[in-house]
Amino acid sequence: MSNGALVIGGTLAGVQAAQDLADSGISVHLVESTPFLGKNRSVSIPDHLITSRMLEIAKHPKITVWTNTHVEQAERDTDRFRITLRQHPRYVDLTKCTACGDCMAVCPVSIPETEHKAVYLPAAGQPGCAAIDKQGIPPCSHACPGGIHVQGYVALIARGRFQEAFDLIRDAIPFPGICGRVCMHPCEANCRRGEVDAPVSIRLLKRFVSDWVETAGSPPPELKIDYPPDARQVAVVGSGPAGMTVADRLARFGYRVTVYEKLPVTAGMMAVGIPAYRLPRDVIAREYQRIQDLGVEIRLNTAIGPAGDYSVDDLFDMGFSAVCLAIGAHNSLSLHIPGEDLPGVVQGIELLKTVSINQQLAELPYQSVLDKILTKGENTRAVVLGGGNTAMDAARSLKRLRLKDVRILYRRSRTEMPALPEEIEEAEAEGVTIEYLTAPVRVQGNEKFGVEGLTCIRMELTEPDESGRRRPVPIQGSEFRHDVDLVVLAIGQVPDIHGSDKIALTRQGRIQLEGKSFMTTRTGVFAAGDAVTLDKMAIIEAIGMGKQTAEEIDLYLKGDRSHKDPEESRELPVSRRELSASEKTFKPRVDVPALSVADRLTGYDEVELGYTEDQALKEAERCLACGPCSECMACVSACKPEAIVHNQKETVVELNIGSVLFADEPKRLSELPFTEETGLHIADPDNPLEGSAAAAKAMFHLFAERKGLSGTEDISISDDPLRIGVFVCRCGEEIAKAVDTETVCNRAAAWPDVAHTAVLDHSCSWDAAETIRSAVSEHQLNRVVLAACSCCAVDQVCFSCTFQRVRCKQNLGIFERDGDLHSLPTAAGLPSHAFAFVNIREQCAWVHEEDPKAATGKATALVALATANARSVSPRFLKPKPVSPSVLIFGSGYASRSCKGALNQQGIPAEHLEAVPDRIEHSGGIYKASRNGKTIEAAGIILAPRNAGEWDKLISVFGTDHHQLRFQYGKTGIIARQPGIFLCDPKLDTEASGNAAAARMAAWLGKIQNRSWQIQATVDTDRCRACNTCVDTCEIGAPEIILEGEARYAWIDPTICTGCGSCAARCPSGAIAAGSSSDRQLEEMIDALLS
Amino acid sequence: MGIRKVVVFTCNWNAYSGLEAAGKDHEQYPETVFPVRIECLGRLHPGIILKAFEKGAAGVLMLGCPPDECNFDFGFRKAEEVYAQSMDLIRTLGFRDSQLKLDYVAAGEGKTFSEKIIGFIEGINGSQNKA
Repeated sequence: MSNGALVIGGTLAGVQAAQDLADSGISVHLVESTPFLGKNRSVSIPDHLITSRMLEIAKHPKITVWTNTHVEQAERDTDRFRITLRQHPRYVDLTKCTACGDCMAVCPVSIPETEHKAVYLPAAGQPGCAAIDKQGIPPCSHACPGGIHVQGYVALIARGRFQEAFDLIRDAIPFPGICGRVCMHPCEANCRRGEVDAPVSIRLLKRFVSDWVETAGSPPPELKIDYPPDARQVAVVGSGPAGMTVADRLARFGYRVTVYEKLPVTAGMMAVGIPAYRLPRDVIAREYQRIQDLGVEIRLNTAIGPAGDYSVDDLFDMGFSAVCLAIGAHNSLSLHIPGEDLPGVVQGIELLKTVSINQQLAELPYQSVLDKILTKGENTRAVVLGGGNTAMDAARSLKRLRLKDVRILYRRSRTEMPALPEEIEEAEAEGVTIEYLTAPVRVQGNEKFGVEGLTCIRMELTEPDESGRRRPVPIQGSEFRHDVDLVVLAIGQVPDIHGSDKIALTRQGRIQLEGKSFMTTRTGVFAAGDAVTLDKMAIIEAIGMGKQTAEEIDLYLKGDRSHKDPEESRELPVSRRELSASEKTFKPRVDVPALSVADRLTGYDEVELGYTEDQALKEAERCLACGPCSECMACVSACKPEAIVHNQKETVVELNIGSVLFADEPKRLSELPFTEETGLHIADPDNPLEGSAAAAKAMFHLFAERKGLSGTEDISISDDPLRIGVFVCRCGEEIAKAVDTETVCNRAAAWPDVAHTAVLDHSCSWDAAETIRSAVSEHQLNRVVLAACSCCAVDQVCFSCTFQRVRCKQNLGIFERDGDLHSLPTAAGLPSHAFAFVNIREQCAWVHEEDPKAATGKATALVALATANARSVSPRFLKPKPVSPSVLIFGSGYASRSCKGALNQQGIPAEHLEAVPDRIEHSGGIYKASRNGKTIEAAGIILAPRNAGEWDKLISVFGTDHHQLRFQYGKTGIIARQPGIFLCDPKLDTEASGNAAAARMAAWLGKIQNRSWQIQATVDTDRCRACNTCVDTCEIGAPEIILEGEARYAWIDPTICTGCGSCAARCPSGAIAAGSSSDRQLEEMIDALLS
Repeated sequence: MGIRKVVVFTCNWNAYSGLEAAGKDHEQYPETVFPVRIECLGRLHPGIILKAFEKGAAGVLMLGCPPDECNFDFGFRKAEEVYAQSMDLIRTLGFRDSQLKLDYVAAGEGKTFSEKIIGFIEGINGSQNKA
């Protein structure tokens, strides 16, 4: 046994092939590369026909539909294929989405060159559930160490949704305002706008929303943490970005956090290393306040360590369950050059700290320190050594202390300089001189007068070595001297810690971590931030590490010894989608206003002024939507049935396939791991006839695996007493906003026989089906009335059907199922006739939405109608007569040969008769062809005329005096109105039409073997007077008069009857029931409706 | 006199799709309109139509598939016969011609559906005023 046939392409041909194969009893896997079936049609077919066609496929118990799926591997194994399918996530749960469109309404991303959003659902798209176009992680978001959905907030800003943008950032990191100012923005370096003109000014957009929230936004909703009464305590040492991120996260996880800070101010390097003109202190204050509002306590002026106020041992004794050391790197590295210890040589970080604390605290103990450094006041000549942001900050701070001569020496060139380009530009604008390729050799001076000069040497860069780095080497004899009074060292820092408290350090003086655990060598003590990394961390990196550390601390405290690897959880690649020509149009960056240089140097006011609202909107619109989904998560909040799953994973399955059909766009064939020689059956995607022809070839490989369906066997249930359950769906708010569902339930509860009523949120969900099932057993219900959008409880798909209605019925087990799977008649234990559905959404809520009272009244009447229908239903058991599959082929067309061959190959006896018979009629469940008094029988008939003349002759032998065989001429070929008759159109390719007719015949023979017959007409033989009215009425010959001993009565062949009910309407004795309702039901329904 | 209800019989195919489309497109129509869905208009017989009048319906509108698009091929033709018979009967019983109508709506035509419904109700009201 194999897993059946694989059909590639959810096209017209693909679904035709799938249906023929499945109807004939073969399992089918239908693979479609896009999220929806029925794409790219060159043939125009009305939406309702496409929809019903695709839904037939979606509901078919023998067809598994794989959308968003590619055939990854195919290996030939004797007569089988081992196929590997890879399904890209849809990010929408097909079992929950109600197609309400709320997600599309809030999605901020419009996909270029289309009319849809990043989450979308085309009009006739099936499965009728939204899909998210997410081809990967946007490069900006991927680059962010803090895990911010960068494209998400940019997209929200572009739509003017500033509060949501801010909330999205704040959810990922605690410092939107700080990062909006001083982040080194790896997002921008990776922004694909940069390939066109210049990256989107992402950092400034973040700054804009953080400021907007302060001024124009609604006050942030108070996030109250519900600390459990036995909440465990964690101590964090250091209030910089890493430590406070750990604190913020742990508080959200429900831990009580105390932060110990050695300095008299919070925020670590952010407050004492970054000058206020870049990062205003009120921005720090408001973001720290938000963390403190969560319940995080900060203790200033408290040092931890052997020489501090408390040791780590003390912290554990004080009741902390874990400790996190985020002490930063506050000691400057030494240059190891002569004269380094002279007075007048200062550490850059000390200088910045002194300036910052001096500004922030009322008492000014630091002013005297500054006076001591600046020996000549404004005329002090200063040299800053280093090329990082600390060097820039130190130099620019000195300019603000009004020093006239400030220069930076850097031993490499500008290209290698680690400081941000804008920092370098601003330093130069403010009058700082930068000398590149210059290194210090010795500091000159003496203990008494301090520094007097600095001997330097010019450098040159070597050719790049194997690692691509260009090392600076001195140029012999280029030594020269700068006369200076102050030398500032800004070449890097190390943590202020010495191995102690059982915490080991690395050789470079950093805290040593154990593997990926973020734990130090001491159990329960963790570390993060600059204290553990070799290179100075950017704030956003410290935040990212803080988040990971918090996760690890949480795992540790829960006793979980596993570790989270954020790289592993990111399964998606970085999105590199092709940019279209229109996307590559030049759109310059919106410049940000800044203070004039003159205004800057008078104090520490913020230099960069930030975007106005208009500027921010304009800048955000430059985003190219690389994802294209931005992961802004707006759809997640909007989706009431919680169907959006942004972290959905890919699925990979292996199948053992007997035959492969290809009905996708021909150009995709080359992408597949197949060649035509390996046995692929190919069909033109828009030609259903070719789909059937390909199916016939696949049947040849697979006919031995045919297995029919079990149908839905009707069982008897006791109707005495009647116990009706009435369920009313709210459809999220779609029904409930107009119809008062509670009122409908309350009114229904008062009706006779109604034993139970309940309101459902989403009746098409699995949960709702479970609710109905348990109500059936708990309240011993024998009828179920469901007022929702589903409109019939019959196993059929009509023009109005939707994926959700199909799903609702599927969940309740109303559709026929595949043989072995099923034991109960329906999953609720009730036969399908015990269900009555009525649509109160399209028929009430949506057409009377302005008048809730009327909508509720009408909904009640419609529920009464459905209840009447359920009350007066009587089971009908329809069983076709057993027929053995056999086929007669008439006509001398060439197609007759290929058709006969295709049928014989799959084990269906087929006989070809060239002579036109005298008469062909259908009786006793079988076709009978007679010629010259001789009769041959068969289950089905194929007509393969050579030309129009023979065609006319063949048609003339069918039918009765009243009715002739008629045909439907559609875009998909000529179809006989009478089931069981198939035509090979002589105008078409004979091979294809012969094979196609064989496939459709096999499908029909499969269908009549064992299917559920629900709407077909049945005759009450006791009331039938054999008057022949039904025989004369039906134009496709389903009824006939049967003689059984003395009795004569009508019998209607369910395999021929299409359920229109015309015979039932005309039967003078009212003996026939047909369609979904009997006469009595119709009368009761009208009664209920109009009373 | 309370609100008089109008019964609209729709076939399960084109006309029902029109009814559904009217809902989907939020095409408002009077809430006195009560749809009853049957498989095909051929399923109706004069007894069912008279039942609606007997129960006090202000009118009965039969909506099926457009000409030559009947899902069952011959159902709409049968409905035409039923319509003619029913019309004779309701005239005999004293109802006005405007109270019974046979019409069609194409699948997906929500606007046409509500227009035809509103037109039918206006027709009843108009003839009522004249009477």
